[in-house]
Amino acid sequence: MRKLRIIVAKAGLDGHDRGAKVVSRALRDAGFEVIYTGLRQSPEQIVSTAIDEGADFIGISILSGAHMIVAEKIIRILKKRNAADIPVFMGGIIPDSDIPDLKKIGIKAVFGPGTPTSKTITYLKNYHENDNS
Amino acid sequence: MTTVENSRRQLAQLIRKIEEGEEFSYYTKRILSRTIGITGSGGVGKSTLITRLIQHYREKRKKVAVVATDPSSPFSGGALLGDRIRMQRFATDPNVFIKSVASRGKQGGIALSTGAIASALSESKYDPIIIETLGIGQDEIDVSKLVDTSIVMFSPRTGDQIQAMKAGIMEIGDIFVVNKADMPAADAMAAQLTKEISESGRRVEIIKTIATTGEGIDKLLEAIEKHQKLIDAVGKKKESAVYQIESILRDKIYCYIKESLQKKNYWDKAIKDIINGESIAEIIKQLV
Repeated sequence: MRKLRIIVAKAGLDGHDRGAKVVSRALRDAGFEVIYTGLRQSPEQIVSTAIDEGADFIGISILSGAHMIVAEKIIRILKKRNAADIPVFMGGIIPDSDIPDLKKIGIKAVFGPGTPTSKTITYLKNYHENDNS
Repeated sequence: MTTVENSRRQLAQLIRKIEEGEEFSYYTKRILSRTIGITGSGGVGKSTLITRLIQHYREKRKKVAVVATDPSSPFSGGALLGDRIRMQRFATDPNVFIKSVASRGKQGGIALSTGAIASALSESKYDPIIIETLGIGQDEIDVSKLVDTSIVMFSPRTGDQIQAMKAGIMEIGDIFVVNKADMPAADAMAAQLTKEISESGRRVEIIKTIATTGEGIDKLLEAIEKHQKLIDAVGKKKESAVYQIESILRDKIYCYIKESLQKKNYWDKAIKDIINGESIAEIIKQLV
């Protein structure tokens, strides 16, 4: 069986990486190969990294309030580069009222503060089995 | 979408197949590109030094690839791959390809698939290909069997004379780098390595660098160039192909034997019997 490879990225001008690190560690402990990009990544960098690394998922942590813009750009670049099959999910400080719009853009799931890491892990492990794409 | 982007994704997907053991043909394909191995303990500055090398090769308009290894957890099988954090400014460069690999239980400092991945990158005309090992201890020396030029990195204050006399990493390396050369103990470290090398009778260049500022990188590049010319003159190592084939055979045969023994419950029974006092030699004789 294939290992699951996931990009965890911090997008834009946002230095708060505690959440991204907690999620990365939890995923590592659940058997994922986590490619951590570090801080202040542009949407182009995130998509390029996901393509080159052959990633199964992109996880974006964002607490700056720019989630709509970042999500839209990432989805657009993924489409442009013929990689829209790589699912994108988000975490961080994202108002509930924005979640439907993010999903409309193409974000598969949003895991806000307080989400048990086990929920994220289960979601990701089941994703490709259930073929949500 | 352009064909360039298309082929890049195809290359990435091919590499993924190699990594997952779904594609074996690249284990026997020759790596025609020049290969440079970078090894050394965790935190010695391997990734930072590599960004300097990428920068140099891009200035020379070369297509450069990096295959960077980090350890897999022996408990969960998961991994946190963080080598490319320092290289991210090259992530969008169409002529730079960075691949992170997890060791996936393989000892020796690189993954089982590292060489085969390098073959695929070589086929796509990436040249040179830089191979970074995980942060090694003392005997993770497999990279030296694979690459043309291996660079072993040290940092000051990492051991006394006896450390430098031990077997393992001291016996490999075409170039030794003492990084963090702005630290006071750097000269002493370099002197110790020089002494050890002269006594071993090997010819190894020792170069001091400060990877964060770029100091000494020009000297390192000269040394790499010099060594690569030597390789061009005498030809690539033959042992690289043997190493690759041996590694994959060892891994696959071990897994096959273990699985077939497990199917018949022989594996668990053997371990239990040995714990209960049966002779290991006897059990091995029975299993084999």
